[in-house]
Amino acid sequence: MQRMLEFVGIDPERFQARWVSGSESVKFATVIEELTEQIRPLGPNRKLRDGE
Amino acid sequence: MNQQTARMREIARELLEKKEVEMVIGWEKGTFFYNSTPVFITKPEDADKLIWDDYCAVNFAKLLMDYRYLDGKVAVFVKGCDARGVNRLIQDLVIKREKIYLIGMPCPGMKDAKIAAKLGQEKEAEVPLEGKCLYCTHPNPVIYDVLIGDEVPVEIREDRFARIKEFEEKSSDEKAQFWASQYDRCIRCYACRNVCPACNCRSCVFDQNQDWLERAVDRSGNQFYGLVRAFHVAGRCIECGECERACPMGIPIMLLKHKISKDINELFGEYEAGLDPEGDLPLGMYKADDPDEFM
Repeated sequence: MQRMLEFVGIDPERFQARWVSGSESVKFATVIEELTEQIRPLGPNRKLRDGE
Repeated sequence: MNQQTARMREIARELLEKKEVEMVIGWEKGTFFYNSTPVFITKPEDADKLIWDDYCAVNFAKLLMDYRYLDGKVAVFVKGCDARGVNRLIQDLVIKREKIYLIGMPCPGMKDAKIAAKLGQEKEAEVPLEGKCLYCTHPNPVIYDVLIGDEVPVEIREDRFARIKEFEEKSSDEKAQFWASQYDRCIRCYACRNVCPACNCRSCVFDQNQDWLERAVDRSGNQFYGLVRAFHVAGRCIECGECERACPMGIPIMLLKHKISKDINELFGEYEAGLDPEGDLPLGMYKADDPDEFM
């Protein structure tokens, strides 16, 4: 998936796959926080959107 | 009339006369010199409609889906790519092997009908091969009951992964720009899905009655359609190139398909779909050591 997104021009940092079990609430929150912080500097994604 | 055509008619007539099959699916000459269209023959006397020429590019594998509930057998002519399409349907449990009779046609490569239409008959000698034939790795049928003529030597005209490597070198903005401009042309006619032997689901996420993706023809919807379809056939795509040939807008769909095949080869080991109807699919089974990277 990441390779394919790269192929169509999406920054690979915008997509991650992680294993989190339904009972691992703390891990889930941490993963989401990390991802959000990593994506913030990249700014809003303008690709794969309708023409503006 | 060439040798293959004569032999095709002879075999088809015999099969129908002996009532071994209910129907024969082959090619007949269409309106123009560059059309060789499907013909469905049920009477022995109609066998003379069959032909074999430079424009028999249509893959019949998908057509078998319409006739899988006939009482008798269906005979179908298969080139290398068509035979892999039939394997696809057998492996996906769409049709049963014993319900079909396969007549193998070793294929020297078909000519590009769209270019032929532009050049006209006087310049027929200049018509190049179909895009899908340039990347062909299996011109000889991999499964058949009877073979017409001798197998042709395998000649890889262009490396299907070389252009993928080249494309990967581009910057992400260039890639996004390229795909946006390609898919801006898409009219969502779904010809690529309808012709695809791997798109054999009973119900499809892109159908009217499904809410997974909006039907509007716009830049994001079109690109998501292309990407989702590419992923749905990942690991099952037999690379017959019918999607790209059927596309009325000339979108290079096979670039996406070859990219996925290349990734599968790199991550799961060498694999070509549709060569063996048994065997495990790289993405259709679970192994504890499957690479996480494919996600």
